[in-house]
Amino acid sequence: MEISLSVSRSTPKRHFEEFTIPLQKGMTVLDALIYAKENLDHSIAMRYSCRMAVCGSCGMKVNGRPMLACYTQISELKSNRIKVEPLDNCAIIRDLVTDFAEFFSHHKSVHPYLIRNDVKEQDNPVKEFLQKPEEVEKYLQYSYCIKCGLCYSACPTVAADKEFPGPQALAQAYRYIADSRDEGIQKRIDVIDTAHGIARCHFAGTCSSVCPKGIDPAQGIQLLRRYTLSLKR
Amino acid sequence: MFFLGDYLRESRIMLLHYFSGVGILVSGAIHLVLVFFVGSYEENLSFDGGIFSVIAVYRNFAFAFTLELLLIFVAFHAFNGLRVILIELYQGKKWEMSVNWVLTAIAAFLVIYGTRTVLLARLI
Repeated sequence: MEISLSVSRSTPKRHFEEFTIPLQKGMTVLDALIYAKENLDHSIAMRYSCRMAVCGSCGMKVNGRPMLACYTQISELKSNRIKVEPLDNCAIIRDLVTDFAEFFSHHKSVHPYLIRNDVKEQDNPVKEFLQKPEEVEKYLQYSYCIKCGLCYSACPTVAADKEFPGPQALAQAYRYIADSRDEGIQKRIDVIDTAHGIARCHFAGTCSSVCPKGIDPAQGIQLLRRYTLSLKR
Repeated sequence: MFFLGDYLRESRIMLLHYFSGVGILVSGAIHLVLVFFVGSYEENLSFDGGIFSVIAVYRNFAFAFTLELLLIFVAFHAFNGLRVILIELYQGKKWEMSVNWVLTAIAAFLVIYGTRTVLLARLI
């Protein structure tokens, strides 16, 4: 059995190229792309690394939906025609490779690390930062983020407003604010509580529906909103 | 609210936005109930002297006060909603400031003009 793989190419101008791939049991979209690159056209550009949904490198649109190519089996797409395109809301470097500079700059802007008032103690801790299981539960799912950019690509607000941090950055802001060990809430709220910040989320929920790790960034944003509205500290 | 710019956090503006939304619902409902009880629809709609009947309704303090509240809530809610749409459409400090100032000016003008109408109707 064969499938038709339609790959978005960026040179000389954006177009699609069709490849016929022999289907194997358990074949993923990434496997099909690697087959095409190894046997049919060496010039296909794509980014991948771990092949097991850990590194978040192979995010792309598969049949119009942002997905991890390594995590998507062809059998689950229920079609013999597969169309792969680069992620939306990111500049295209070449073919399926997109520029994540903007995405990572938003991520960095929310200070995605523990902030303690006592810097000396943080650098040279004398004891562990203890947490109860229920305190860990508050942010645990958000710490599973692999920064694949699928939620950023699916977000309709990011599509309209490039200054909007996006669901990934906002969910990470929540992840650290909700962490009982963190004391940097004000620093993060200063970044996200702006005219192009958290208030611009329209709760479309696409971020949560495309997350390959089952994280719910939309929920994180709503929980974070309680902090910005001073309803919760 | 818009002229405070960077000094007023977006979350505060949005809190006022939600509050004004509820305010529209409450003051709008009170307004409709008062119109029903204070004035008579038949009188208000009558060609002959209907205008005086409407003006007479404004003399009722509760009615005028609710109408003033409704005016403020609607002006804030509508123009803040428009501001949100416009700053999402295009980005840039200059554009944002222009949107804030122009919309604040229009909203302020509408509130002042509406307040004047309410006050004048009470004085007639």
